[in-house]
Amino acid sequence: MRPSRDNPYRLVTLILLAAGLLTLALGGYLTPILSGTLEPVYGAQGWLYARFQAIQDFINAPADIARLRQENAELRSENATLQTQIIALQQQVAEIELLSALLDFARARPENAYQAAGVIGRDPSPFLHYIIINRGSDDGIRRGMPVVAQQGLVGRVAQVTANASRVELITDPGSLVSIQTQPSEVDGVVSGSITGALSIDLIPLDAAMQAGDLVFTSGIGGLYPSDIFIGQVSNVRQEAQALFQVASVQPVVDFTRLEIVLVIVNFQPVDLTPLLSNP
Amino acid sequence: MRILVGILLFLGATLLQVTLATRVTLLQGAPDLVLLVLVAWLLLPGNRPDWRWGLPAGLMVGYASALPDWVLLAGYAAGAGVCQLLSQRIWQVKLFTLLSGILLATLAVHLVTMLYLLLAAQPLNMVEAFNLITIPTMLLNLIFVLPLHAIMNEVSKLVQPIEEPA
Repeated sequence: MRPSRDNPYRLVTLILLAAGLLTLALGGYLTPILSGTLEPVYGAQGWLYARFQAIQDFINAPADIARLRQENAELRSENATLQTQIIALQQQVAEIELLSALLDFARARPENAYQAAGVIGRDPSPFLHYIIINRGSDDGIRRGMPVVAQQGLVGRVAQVTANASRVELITDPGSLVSIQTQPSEVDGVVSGSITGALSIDLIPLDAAMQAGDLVFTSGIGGLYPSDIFIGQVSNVRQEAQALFQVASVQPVVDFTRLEIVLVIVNFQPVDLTPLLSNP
Repeated sequence: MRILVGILLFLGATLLQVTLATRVTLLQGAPDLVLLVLVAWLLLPGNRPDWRWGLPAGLMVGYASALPDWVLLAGYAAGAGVCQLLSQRIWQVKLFTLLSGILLATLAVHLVTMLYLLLAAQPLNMVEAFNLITIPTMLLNLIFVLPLHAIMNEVSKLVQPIEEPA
């Protein structure tokens, strides 16, 4: 049905009706009616949208899974890289702490000149206690030079090549170090053993050495500088009818975890052999 | 070719012994990789054990160790000699030969070392050395010899493939 141009009242009525409805809608008077009417429409629309979305997901799923897998692989790779970086940084921190401790040791004894060296191996025989370091005669290392770690005495250089040296640890059965205990001020000799245990033999019976005493190098014999920390007396034994006491020493250096050591390069060991030989 | 591969294996074992194996300890004992390679190599099927194989092995360990070369030469030659004797006597039981070979070879090397330490007037308590070093080393060697023998077997097949009958 086409609106007649001849009837202007109809047009005016329609405009007024539209304006009235608009006013009522803007005023919120139609909300209950509209919500009641549109609720089923919204429900149907939601239902349709959900189904459409499900179908769309089903169609796009392979592409999404491939993308997610790729993303997952990238994240895993990134995670592995970051983990590697963390481990490398942790190692650097440990190394810096170690070097810092060694530096503190060196600063505490400014009279000595040091050459840092890394431990690159150990003696293959379980009967001997030697380490191999990555500095040799090209770096100024000479036979007999004392070797220390941040905690204390390690040993002395026994054999040198151009780029590496063999260090006899104080725990080696052939090692003898002149010592003095503090505060008891008892002189003696610390010897190693095949088991790596340190002991002080030939302690006079009247010596007042006791467990807990600290053991330092005495410098007697000229093989080591004086006052380098070795360890602590763990017990003192005196057997019946024995002429001397025997003490066990707990070394301060953990010889199984040696990584970096310092060689005292300005110390000249004294060779007493000519004095000991008979005329 | 076989000699060259054997020497290369000893060289690799010596490097691993100096850097790695000495850290795997049981009490004061540590596995002797060079001896393990030597025994496993000598007792491979088709090999004729010879005490002279102990000489290059001893020489290489002697270079890395503070012990005099002759001690290790004698020790490893004695170990190889033990394998030679065992393969002639009890060759029928391969596994038994291998296990007894590594035990006796370890004992031979340690006895020679202890003899040197006694001659050199080093402080040595034999009972302590045996309990804390020799027995743990024997046990570790016993654990490692079987997988190492399997590896040696594969290496041997690569070096000298067995021809399939036509």
